[in-house]
Amino acid sequence: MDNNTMRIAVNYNKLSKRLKDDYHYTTGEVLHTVWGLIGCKPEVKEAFVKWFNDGIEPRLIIEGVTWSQLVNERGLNPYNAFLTINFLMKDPSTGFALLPRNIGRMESVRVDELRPDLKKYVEEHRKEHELPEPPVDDNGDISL
Amino acid sequence: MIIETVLGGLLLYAAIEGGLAVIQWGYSASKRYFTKHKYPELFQDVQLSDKDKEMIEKCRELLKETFPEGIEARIKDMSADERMALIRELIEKCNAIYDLDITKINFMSAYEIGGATCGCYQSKDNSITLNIDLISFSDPTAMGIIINTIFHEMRHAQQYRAITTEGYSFGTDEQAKAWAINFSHYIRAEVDMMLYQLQTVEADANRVADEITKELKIKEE
Repeated sequence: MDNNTMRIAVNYNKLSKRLKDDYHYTTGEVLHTVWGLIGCKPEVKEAFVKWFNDGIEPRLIIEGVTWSQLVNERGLNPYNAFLTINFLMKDPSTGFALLPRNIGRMESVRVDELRPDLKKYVEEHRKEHELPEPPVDDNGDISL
Repeated sequence: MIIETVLGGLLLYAAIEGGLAVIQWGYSASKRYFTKHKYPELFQDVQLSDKDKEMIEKCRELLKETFPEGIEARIKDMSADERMALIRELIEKCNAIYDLDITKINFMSAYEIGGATCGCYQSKDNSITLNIDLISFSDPTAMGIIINTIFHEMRHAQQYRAITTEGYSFGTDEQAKAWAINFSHYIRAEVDMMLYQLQTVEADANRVADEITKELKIKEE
């Protein structure tokens, strides 16, 4: 890596704290977001790191939709907006069909609420659905 | 002695490099796995059952009875209170078709419920909450959104009943398993708006509500 190549990394503890404190994310939701960011297109990752570390507003745009519009007009939190605009870039036909859809709200269901046979089934499959912790370097940074 | 030291050093170097390569491979593999698969069990395309299709047909009939000339024709001279009464009546009639018993219906402003939220089902008190701002406008398109939301949220109530209550009339074995897995790892719209909509329980609720309302006329000619 030469001196002009930007390091695409953020501090994991700082990111986790901001997600939990500012937007009440659970640990599982932090992991979902982190792995989502790791899977983003390079230009989205770069914009995220610049925004997160230096407060630079992203200039991401796809078919007339900008990151700023997703935040200011659609009401998404900034992290959600990065994941959303990345999806629109990767799969615009699906993404733009979903974008205007109305939002409902559901809650998670605790395993102890499930009927007994399903409780057993979910517990057996739990490990398959839990995201691993991302690799963190000695500085506490995760490389996106 | 010197040769042994050099050889030892080379072996140590190779071991370290090999170890780092394995770690890097593991990280890349898990990164590829996540980005490619994204825990597919949360995004299952479970088919509607015959009972679901029967329910959808009955709901379509109910909508034809309730809005014989379309939404605009029915609500244009109604006050907001009358529109809310109409919605309560619709939900009561849907209870029989959906095999539910939702009696608590709340109306909240966009500020209280969340600006982009049309409605929600809450399992803790078996209630449905709807965005009153969409009802307050004398706008048939907004009313159409609310009607779609009713069928969507009642489907969530069915999903919840199916995974928590033995012997419930809806939910095949395949559906119940897929719903149970998803609800125990539910993706909130506030966290990831796209994957929220694609997850099993939301895609299913959208499909049911869209099938029921697809022929509902919104505006007068």
